Amino acid sequence: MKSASVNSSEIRLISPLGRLTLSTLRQGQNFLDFFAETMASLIKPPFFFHEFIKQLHFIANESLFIILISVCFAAMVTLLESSFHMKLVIQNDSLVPGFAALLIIRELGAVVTALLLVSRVGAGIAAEISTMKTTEQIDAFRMLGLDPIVFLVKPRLLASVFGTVLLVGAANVVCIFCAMMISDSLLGQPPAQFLAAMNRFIDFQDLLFSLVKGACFGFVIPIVACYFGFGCKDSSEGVGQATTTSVVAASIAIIFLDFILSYIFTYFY
Amino acid sequence: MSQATPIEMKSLFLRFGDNEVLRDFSMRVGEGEALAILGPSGSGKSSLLKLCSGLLLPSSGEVCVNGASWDALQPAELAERRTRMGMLFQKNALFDSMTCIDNVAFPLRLRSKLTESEVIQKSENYLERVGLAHARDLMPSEISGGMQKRLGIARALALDPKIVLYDDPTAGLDPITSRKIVDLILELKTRNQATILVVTNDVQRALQISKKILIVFSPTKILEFGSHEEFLGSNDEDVRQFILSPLESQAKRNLDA
Repeated sequence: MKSASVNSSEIRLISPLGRLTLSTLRQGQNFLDFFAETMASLIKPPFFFHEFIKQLHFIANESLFIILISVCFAAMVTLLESSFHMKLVIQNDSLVPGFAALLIIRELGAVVTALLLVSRVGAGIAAEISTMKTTEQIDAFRMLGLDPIVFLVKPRLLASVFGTVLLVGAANVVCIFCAMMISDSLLGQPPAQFLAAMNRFIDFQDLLFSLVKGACFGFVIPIVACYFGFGCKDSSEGVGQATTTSVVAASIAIIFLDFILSYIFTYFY
Repeated sequence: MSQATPIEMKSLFLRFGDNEVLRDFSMRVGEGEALAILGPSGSGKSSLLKLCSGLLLPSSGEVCVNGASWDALQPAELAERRTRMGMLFQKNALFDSMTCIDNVAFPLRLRSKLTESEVIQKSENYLERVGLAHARDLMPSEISGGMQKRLGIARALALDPKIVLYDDPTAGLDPITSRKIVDLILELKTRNQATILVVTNDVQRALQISKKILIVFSPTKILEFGSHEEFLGSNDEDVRQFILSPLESQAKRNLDA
């Protein structure tokens, strides 16, 4: 009988995989605990209104210009590319305004806004929370009888959900306006034609789903950023690592969530 | 009626993974007493303070503050009891988005029933006591290390706690500022009749703070001395080295000079 022996090279191959699996499971469990605690905090008093307004200003007001500029160009590119490819395939780009408007409302406005918010707001929150942790400010809040989740996470979460919905709404309007301008100037389709196409292609529920997506993305950004911020190692390297990881994780989460939501929304048509 | 002991630790064990910090450690600090905790870096002195404040829970054993065990308390009750303690953190933990006066006023706004004008008045009083009246509207990043320590002390004392924990209040400060900080701690202790625990690496400052000295070397070697004579006359080799090393290095510096 052949004895079952595992040689050292096999162990060397398997053990990192085991460690990775265990650490991923541990991270997953910690994240679920944090998520549950955050959910519980939403119904737990007190509500720090001043902190909420401060965060809303940081998330919505200070991001508005960057987001509008970026989505504006994204809309223009979408329109130009669609026109180019439609002309190439069906030698006609008359459907472009309708399709572009649909794409903008259902996808572009929310996703581009969320990804920009991840890099601006998510990184900011993760860096702020992790710096607070390394400088013991979070312990200082605890010493004052403050639950850091109620004081730090809750206002950021609510402000982010509310702010992202507002930003997605604004981004959609600006996107459509820019697409209309480009359609008029480069494709030769006047605004009236663009609006008529839009009216034909877009339902009220498209607008609603876009805002729902915005709310979901706005929820993900601070949760992920705060989770990595709270879990940061006590060093400047730890702060950098927490910030980078939170941006990567939140971006992936948004793209994944976008797919899930888009899939769910197809059942409503 | 006898009052509950402010701080009592019973058969504490503390482990971080494989790293053992405390093994079967017990101590008590009576009302109005001061205890200086000495020891080399990384020996678990700050962990002791965090155990006292409930920021850290022991692996086993019991920490009782004013007769109540941290373990037996619900989170809300634990949070409420923590507000009756003050703590100066090793890195000061000042709220860097708030001005000096707001740092002191924050606990009062949160935990006292004072009106805004009373909060401001009380905060200004504390800033004045620690010699920072002129810095009331500056941000923590705009003041020096010694001033940050003093601001941390003012914030720790804002709610007039009866137990105050100081984590290395003289770390990174020059001897003159260190002495001033310790004088301030002692003055405020007398004024508030508080029980204080002070972690430090500095033998001179420990002697200035308290007669009672606890010295932490390792999980199994924690020595308690009831008086300066007992501490300075100890025959333990580690204690001798701890006492003598600053003097030796001073002598060496003198010789070099």
